[in-house]
Amino acid sequence: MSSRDPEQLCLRHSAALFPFVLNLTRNEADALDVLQELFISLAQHPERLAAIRNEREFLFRMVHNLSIDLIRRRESRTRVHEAVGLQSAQLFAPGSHPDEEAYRRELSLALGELPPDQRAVVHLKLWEGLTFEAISETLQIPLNTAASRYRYGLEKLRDRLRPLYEEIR
Amino acid sequence: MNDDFERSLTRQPFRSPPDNLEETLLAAMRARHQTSPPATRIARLLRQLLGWVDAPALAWQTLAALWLVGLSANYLCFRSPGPAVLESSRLPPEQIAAARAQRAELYALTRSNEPEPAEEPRRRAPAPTRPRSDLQSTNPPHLG
Repeated sequence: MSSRDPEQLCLRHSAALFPFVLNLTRNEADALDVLQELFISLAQHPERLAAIRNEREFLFRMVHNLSIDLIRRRESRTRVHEAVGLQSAQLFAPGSHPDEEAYRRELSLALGELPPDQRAVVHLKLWEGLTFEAISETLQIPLNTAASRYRYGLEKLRDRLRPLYEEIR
Repeated sequence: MNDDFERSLTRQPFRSPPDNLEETLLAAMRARHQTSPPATRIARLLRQLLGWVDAPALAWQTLAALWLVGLSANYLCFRSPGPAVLESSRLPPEQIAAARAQRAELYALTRSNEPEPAEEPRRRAPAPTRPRSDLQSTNPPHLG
């Protein structure tokens, strides 16, 4: 069984892909649908995996595109994307302290208020540790766009979370 | 360079994915792989047929030889009825003579009932062509 076998990819990366997709879709069922769609597609067309250089970036790019498609379909159905962004599934692990719990809850809500493009960049930079260059390749956007989206997104988070952050620091 | 705020964000752990996430995904992949859509099934059938066409040369030569043998046998068997067939289809002389007698008798009976057909008027025999020398001799004197 080769290392580019779709089942092996699923076992290696699904745990990292899940929070990213959940952060974008804000809905656990939708996140599972996106991941299923991704891996079924790879199982049906394994030849797509032959030419990729970085399988992790490739998978993040695929789920990002699938998530954006799903968000657009959902918005066209509901037309209440603000509400959908806020009806966040539990994104972070429960905190051991009430302040920590409150901070994570507010962080989840603040992320939900970001546009999906900014949210994707912020997630890949902060929690996947990708460089701006890797983010620009993953999301297929210019390097400056990746950096500016991160800067705008981070400033919004900072403004929103400043009171709580001052408490827990 | 990350500041304190960014580091504080990075330290927040995401919730763990559902326990059966990988099993669910693998089961979905395998189920979809087994029930592939018709287009994929047709493509697989075509690939299989092409695989058969791509048989070794010896198989094709054997098939051609068998086809030639069959064609030759067919030609030899059905070209003309053999002597044995003709021999078996020939009637004994007594039966042939009896059949001829019956036919003659039937002919005589039918002829006796019919009126004698009127004799056809004799055709005049065509006049013999005269030689050109005769024609010349009968020409008027002023032409001679």
